Amino acid sequence: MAKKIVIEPVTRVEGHGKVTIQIDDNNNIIQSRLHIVEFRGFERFVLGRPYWEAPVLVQRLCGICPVSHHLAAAKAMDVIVGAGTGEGLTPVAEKMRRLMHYGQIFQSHSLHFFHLASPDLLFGYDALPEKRNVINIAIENKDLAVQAVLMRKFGQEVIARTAGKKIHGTGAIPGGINKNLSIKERDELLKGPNPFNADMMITWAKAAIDFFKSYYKKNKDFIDNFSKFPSNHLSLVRKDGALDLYHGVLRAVDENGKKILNDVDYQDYLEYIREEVRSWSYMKFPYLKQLGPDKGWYRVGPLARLNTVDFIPTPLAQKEFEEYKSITGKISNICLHTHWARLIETLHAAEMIRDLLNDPDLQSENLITKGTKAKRGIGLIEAPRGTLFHDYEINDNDQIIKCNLIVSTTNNNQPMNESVNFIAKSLINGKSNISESMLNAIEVGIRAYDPCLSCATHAFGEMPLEITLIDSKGNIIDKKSK
Amino acid sequence: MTKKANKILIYGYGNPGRQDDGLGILAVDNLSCWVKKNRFYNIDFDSNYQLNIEDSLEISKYNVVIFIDSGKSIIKSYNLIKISPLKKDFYTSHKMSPESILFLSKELYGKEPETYLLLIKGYKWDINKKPTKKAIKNLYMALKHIKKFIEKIIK
Repeated sequence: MAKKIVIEPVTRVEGHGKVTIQIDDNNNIIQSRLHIVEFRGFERFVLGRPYWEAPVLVQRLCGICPVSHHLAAAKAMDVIVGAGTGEGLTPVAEKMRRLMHYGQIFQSHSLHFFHLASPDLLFGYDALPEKRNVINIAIENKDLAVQAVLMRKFGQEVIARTAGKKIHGTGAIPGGINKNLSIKERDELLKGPNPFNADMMITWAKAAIDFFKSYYKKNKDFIDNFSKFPSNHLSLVRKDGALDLYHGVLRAVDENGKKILNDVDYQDYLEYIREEVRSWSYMKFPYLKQLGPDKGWYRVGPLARLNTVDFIPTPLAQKEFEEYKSITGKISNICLHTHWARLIETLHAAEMIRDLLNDPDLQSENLITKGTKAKRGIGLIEAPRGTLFHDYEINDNDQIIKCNLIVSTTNNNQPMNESVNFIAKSLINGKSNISESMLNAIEVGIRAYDPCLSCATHAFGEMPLEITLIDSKGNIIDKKSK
Repeated sequence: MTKKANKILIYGYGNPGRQDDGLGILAVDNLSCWVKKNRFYNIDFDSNYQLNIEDSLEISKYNVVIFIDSGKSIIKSYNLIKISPLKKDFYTSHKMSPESILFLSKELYGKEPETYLLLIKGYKWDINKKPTKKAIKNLYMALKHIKKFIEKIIK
């Protein structure tokens, strides 16, 4: 009799999902799937609204990465107002947006590593659930927790000073920005009393990488073999091949690092990317059109980005990138290397924030660019979790009539499913008892992608972790919750 | 004018683009106008989509903290309770509970402000819609109560 194991919801990911693992009579894995159980119809709620509202409206999607949605929508609206496809803004407008974005990357990556990933690394994924959380990091590693709080707060303050406010920021508008950075605001971030300044954030970001490298030395076998499978990788890259999280051309490489999408203009993304619908999940499955759905799926996010780019344009992060590459080789298909890649990006973000704060362009007054209006605009950005697509069409009354969003986590849908399958097969296959640590291992694999499975708000309430065993006829044969 | 040297933080959280989820933010908007009009000092305001680890540092700077949130599960129109630090398990990172934030403040900064949670009953959490009429009614009842409570603290 075949059995099905259900893990619902997946804990410590943004939003919630459900994992089912179907096992045959000999406890061998038949099939593993990550289901997305919520549908929110994000694209529909902006229809009929004036286009200039989009950069603020889309922040209602998500309280976790509102800045990414804000900037992707603003970039799309730049095209609609004729301000170019990412390179036509005034220097102050582009640099303010970049500062906002790198603030978002810095705080989001810091939160993920210290709050979500480090409990698994420090206490082990087989530790009791009540142990594996940031509260126990605070108790047992106070210095690390204090750093985490300040790194997160620093990124939030960068956002507040560039977006104007913490909730529903208005900093980016079609064709530019609505404020520059005052000298006072600049100095609060650049020269704030220790430790609250850009230089200290660089020091701490570097220390976080050292922390990971030290862990990696002792646990290389675990990290390298926990979850690995070949895949394509996709991201924006700067035209010269540099890591650029705000703007660039689309590049994809295969499992060996060979370019399969060669620096194309993302305004033409529909020529290269398609989305497949599958009956068992509300989340679509994107793939590269030229390779088809079976072979064309790809990863996005920190691991993918460090696979696609040629170099990192800040010195400390570049040094770390070189060391990372000396160990991973040309390309890494190893899931937990994502943590390492994410920390290198955190350091890069800190360096970018410092460099941007030192740029006098941020105090310029020329905030807006306008040109010939267009009916369609596409904006892409490298959000913390990966490539984010916003695509809008408007009518003659300036109302949005069509919207397509491919969020980062959707791009990682198939890779997350591959991770679940890999871990289930390596840890659960053939075992007669399913331990909690085995189930948590699957969650660790998913968490590496830092997914934002839904944009559910906190007010939906606590969700207990529930594991259900179901036989092939759909009967519940066991149920556990914690 | 504040007569006592209590430094108070009023912190509303939720997403105002998600109907009744934004009651905490609306409460902060209303209270900040009221504080300004009455020239009360030593009262600061903050708001965000959800609570997170950095809020432990923020609350550690105050003597009294009032969190304001909306909730589906409460029976009454609103509920004001004093909360204690709690080493609490939590399952998602979308939020940390006020009790966990207070725990971190005590653990990391050695500060345990007198902390309250004002929970206002909400009903719907749809995207891009105004708060429900019933929730707005609850909000005004809760505001009336919390204003009297704040006046007691500062007098």
